[in-house]
Amino acid sequence: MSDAKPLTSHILVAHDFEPDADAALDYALALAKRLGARVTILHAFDSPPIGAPEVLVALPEWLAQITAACRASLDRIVNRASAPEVPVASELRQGPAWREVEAVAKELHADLVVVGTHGRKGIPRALLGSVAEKIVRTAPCPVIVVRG
Amino acid sequence: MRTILAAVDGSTRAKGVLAQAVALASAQGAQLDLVRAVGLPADVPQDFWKTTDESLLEVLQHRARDYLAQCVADVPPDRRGSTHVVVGVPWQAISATAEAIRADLVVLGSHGYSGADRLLGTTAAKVVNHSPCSVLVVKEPTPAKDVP
Repeated sequence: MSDAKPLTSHILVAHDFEPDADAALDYALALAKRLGARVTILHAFDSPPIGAPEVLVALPEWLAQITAACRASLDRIVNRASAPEVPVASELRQGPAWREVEAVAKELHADLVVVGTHGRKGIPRALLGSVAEKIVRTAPCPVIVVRG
Repeated sequence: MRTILAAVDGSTRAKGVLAQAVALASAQGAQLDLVRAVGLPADVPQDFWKTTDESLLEVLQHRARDYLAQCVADVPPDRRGSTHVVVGVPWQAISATAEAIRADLVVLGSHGYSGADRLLGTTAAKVVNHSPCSVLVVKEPTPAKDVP
């Protein structure tokens, strides 16, 4: 292969605030350092289910609280991830993770997506199916599923 | 020493898979092994055995080895590892090889059809679910229009 253009210059990491995602983030950061790529960390949160009329009224306030909490968690992760060699940015989105990964990867022209997955093996893992698999299905670019 | 296993299947997609695997192996200083699974096609002509002294499986294995030898030419000499021709169902062959060589990463292609279903190939999905290590799924370049 004599391609002069690097295949990977912008890595998008999907982070769900679970420990498995840290393994994916570490993997992405190490890879970005080697490839001279930048990293964007994405967290997507789904809107709370609406089950009662009074919830509808409270929804904007809840949403603001959820958004603020997610923002704070995401900022902590970005601070922890920051290294002089690798530029790290973040995106906070509302919606199903797989859909937001697809959308953000397209918007920001990410050329690699990195996601974590649970370390379970065999049937339990297969049955879990998982967000990771859905991301692999829908992302517009290559996806690394990092086994935590 | 890290080990990356690239699964190449002889399709046009395999070039993209190999290119990604080579880029990552070069970036990470990893050894790149190649695997091709060989299985008996469902529609073997019934009189096939009359046409050659070799069994069909031997012919297929032979051709797979030739194919992998061609692929190795695209791998920088200092990154070259072993090649593996494995008889069996592709996802099992790939997962088993990854386990046997203690691969740190498996690279393989998705089917990447970008129609309405956006199906992930069953091989890629199963390897994602069953591989002992991280998996990079490389998409086929997206066509301009969603025409199958």
